[in-house]
Amino acid sequence: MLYSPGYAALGHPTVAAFFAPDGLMNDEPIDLGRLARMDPDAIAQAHDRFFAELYRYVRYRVPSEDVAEDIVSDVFIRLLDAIRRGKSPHTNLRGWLLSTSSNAVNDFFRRAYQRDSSGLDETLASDDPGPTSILDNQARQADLQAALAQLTPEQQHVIALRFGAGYSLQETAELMGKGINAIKALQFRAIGALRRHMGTDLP
Amino acid sequence: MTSHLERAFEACWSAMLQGETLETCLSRYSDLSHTLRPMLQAAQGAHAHWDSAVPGSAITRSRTRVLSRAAELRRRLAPRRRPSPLPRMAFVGAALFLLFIFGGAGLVAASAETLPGDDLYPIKLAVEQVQLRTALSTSTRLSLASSFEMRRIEEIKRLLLLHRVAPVQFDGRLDQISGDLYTVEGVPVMASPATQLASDLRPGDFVSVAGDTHSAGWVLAASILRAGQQFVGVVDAMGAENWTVSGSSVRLAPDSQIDSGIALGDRVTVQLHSEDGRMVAASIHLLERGSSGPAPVTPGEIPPAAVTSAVPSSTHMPSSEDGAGTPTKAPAPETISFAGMVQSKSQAEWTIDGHTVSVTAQTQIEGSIQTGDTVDVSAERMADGSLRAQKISLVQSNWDGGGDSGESYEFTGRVESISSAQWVIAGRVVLIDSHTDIEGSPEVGDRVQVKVFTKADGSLQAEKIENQDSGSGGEGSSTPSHDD
Repeated sequence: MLYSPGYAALGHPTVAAFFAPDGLMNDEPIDLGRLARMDPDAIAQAHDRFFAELYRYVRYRVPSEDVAEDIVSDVFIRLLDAIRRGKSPHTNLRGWLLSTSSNAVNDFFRRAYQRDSSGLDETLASDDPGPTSILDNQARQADLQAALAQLTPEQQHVIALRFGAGYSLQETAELMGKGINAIKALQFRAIGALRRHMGTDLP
Repeated sequence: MTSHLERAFEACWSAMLQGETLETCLSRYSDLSHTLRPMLQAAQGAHAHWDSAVPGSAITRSRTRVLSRAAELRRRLAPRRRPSPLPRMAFVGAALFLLFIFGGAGLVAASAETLPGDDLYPIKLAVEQVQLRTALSTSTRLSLASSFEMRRIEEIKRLLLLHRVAPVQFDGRLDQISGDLYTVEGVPVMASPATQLASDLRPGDFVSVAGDTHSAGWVLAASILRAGQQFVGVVDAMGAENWTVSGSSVRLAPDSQIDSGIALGDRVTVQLHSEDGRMVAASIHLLERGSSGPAPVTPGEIPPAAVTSAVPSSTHMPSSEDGAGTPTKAPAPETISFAGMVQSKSQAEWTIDGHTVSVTAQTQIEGSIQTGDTVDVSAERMADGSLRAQKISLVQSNWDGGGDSGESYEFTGRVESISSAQWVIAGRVVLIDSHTDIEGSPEVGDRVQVKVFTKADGSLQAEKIENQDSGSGGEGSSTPSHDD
């Protein structure tokens, strides 16, 4: 990681760039200093860098592409707001974005349930006509998402990271700020809980 | 036992991701297969719904929203440039002098708890402006602006609790829409038929609300517009204080920047911002002369009426079947013009307001245009539907160059042009003088690392340019070389 001691001294975003060791994490640095100044190039760069990852993660958990797009877009706007309030992530931008995405998804379901719990089921189910296989697939996805929503936030997060977004065990551990053994245990419990909530619908 | 199960599960799942079958894996853990099997099947089921497709249009729309929000934040923080510390200090001294002479410290303190509509409330706002203007760094200004925004919202919530009626204006995130009731940052806002409403508002949008608190516990909105809203329209009426643009009333302010020579029927870009609780024109720029106007156009659309060529869009395009094989001359491509934000730039293509336009050597580019800037585009629509830019001109720069004047920072990018006084590097004009340290004899096309500082007038003065010539293109990146 590249640290900017001057920023640290001022209590401003302290990390000028984010690096990670391998695979999905091996990126060009994102410059928090430029983000803090609302540099459009830096913002566009960060947005385009992380959008796809966040979208896949969120789309795995929510019922429609439109909802996923709105949530991911909102996460980036929350990042801008966090930066200007001096509450930006200091060490792990990707982890912050994914964690915020998880919270935003939780908020979405909370609002949906508050509006109308029965409406949520309607949201999760698709009315689109189409071949039976597509409908079956959509129905299974809706069932999965409904079951996911029954888990604890942390269990939902680990399932979506590992089985939805495709992060490795190591990457998931880094993103969640936990040890590998803790992630193994968490995902095991999460899969068990998911299976119980899905009943016999899972293959 | 559980730990053993967890390890076995992870080992099997990793192997299955590499192509191993469930049965093969279970055969290695025969003592656990009864428990492992349903767990791995559940994992298979959870993984089966992974969809790697990401709609390209979603990325573009999202980028537009995020850059718009960033532009709005920059506009609020529009740096009051300080050529030297003296004017700032003079301002501080004068402001404090006036406040204390005419009001006294007690008055300032008393104003702190006031609400909109109170006699002392303007003093509270004035003190905030002093604090903003005297902030020593961009980050401090950001933090202050944010806390003042939150303060506005808290004030409105208190007004509503007290059932007081007062004019209010605030910006915030649109939480939800339920019929005519809009919730913005937790504040209920009621729209009426008289409310000026931005089109296609969605939860998550950042909006500026102007109106009055109502004793019933909500704000009756005079307008709910996207923060920093810009729209394109035709001038219907022009008054000393108000214009009407495509049916919308636009209030002018003394500092509104208005292009000279605008006449009725002209097509213009209007940039609004909030001021003293009202949406006023920050700028009105002429886009196109005309005597009859198109319908209002929402941002993101290419206005149909912007088609300026003699070839209407419905013109039949000749094909090889026309004229019994007689060679036909292709009609001139239609020319369209539109305005919007630059969302991305590469050497050959720019994305502007969601539209991709190709940029060629013949494209006339006016101004030093950066991502996030608002531009006018004149482009030809080619036979395949693509757009080729003829001219792109800067309407409004939304980027202040990286911070307060005097700030030094570095960036990398390709050299696009070289002259004795200035170079263009990665789209940025960089001034050169005898003190500029140029290493490695860079030429046009070379990739260089540049250290610049921002001059008081916003221009970039190069301190050092170093030829890197790594052979990879791109817009470059930059890092601050010292503190904010």
